[in-house]
Amino acid sequence: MAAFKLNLFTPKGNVVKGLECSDITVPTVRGEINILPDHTHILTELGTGVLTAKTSDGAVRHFSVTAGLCRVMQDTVTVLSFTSEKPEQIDIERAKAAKAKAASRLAGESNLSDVELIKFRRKLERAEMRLRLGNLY
Amino acid sequence: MANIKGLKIRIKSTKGTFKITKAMKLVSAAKLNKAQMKILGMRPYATELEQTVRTVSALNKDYSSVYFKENPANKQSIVLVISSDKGLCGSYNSAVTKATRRLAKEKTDENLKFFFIGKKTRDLVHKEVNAGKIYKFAKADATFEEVRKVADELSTLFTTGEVGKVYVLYNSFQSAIAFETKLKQLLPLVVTDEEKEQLAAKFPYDYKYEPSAGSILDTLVPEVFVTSIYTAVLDAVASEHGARMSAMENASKNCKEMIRKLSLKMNKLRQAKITTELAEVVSGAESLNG
Repeated sequence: MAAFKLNLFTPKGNVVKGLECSDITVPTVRGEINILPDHTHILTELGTGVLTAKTSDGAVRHFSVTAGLCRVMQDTVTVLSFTSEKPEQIDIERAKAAKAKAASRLAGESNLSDVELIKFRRKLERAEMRLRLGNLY
Repeated sequence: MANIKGLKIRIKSTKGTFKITKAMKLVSAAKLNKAQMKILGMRPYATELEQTVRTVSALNKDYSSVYFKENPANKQSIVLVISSDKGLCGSYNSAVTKATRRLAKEKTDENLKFFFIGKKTRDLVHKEVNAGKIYKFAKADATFEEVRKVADELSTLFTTGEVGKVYVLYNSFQSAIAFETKLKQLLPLVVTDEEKEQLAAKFPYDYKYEPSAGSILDTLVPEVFVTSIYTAVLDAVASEHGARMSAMENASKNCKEMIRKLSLKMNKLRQAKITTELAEVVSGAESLNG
């Protein structure tokens, strides 16, 4: 089966390098895109979400990604993400607490500045994404 | 003989120094390990990001952003000099200081202003060059957020047109025992025509952009700037620990050698003293036997 290589780099180090994949789903700012072998060259901005990769041997792996970029070139897909976690690294309790906190701050929206509003919305987004990823594991 | 006592004191103090340098070496080795992991983890991300931005800007000739715009009329430049807060690290700080002085002498066509991270080089050169701000971090190795603040400040100075160029001068980490002092121009991001052609030749096909090349570059370019500075800081921290480790290794070696030499001298003197005393006793006894 045709396969391509997945690289996932973050400032804290390489999460995966040269992982043989046959199918990956990447969250972008415009929604999820699915990449199969022989995909056209594409460069896109990453959104916050879960990156799902099906490796050539049939295993499915999940990674969280936040802001960054995704580049598809011939037989390599390079994902640069500001942070990335594997499901087993996620602390569900902490994510739940973070979600509750962000949600409660957003509930009283009137006294938040624009910057704070964006900050808490992003926090909520990340906490929800973590919970999704944590529950997948 | 008083000399033996003097030697004993010197040996004792050298042994004390030896203990300190050895401990410092071990501490630096542990810190180097951590710093090395950080910089080596950062590099693929940083290079990939910068390469992508360079490629995309080469492929999209009509894209222009304030970050790419060269402004030859603006002679004001900022050099961010990264040295350390602490000494005892061999040629680490002197290498940066030397490079700073040389830069100040050679780049006379630009109006250089020096900003600093780490006070060692600043303390040495601030009277000779046009010294600006010094940035301080809570801990020796800065977090990404702290560096982002510095980067934001510098990029605002650039985007408002107050300065024409931003450089960074730092020691780039090569291995535990080697570093290289590098000067890198961060702003404006220059992709020369030659490089553009090379990149365009390498990528005969263009990407499909989602949402668009312009908006991707708009978000990535500031990110490249922050990442470059952060990489420079990590590079500098790793080189500092490496330099300190080898400096302390040398110091420990020298201490050992010194202790060996002093002990030898002291033993010689002690032996000579015993021999003289023996000779005196023997000759005294001889004269009694007469």
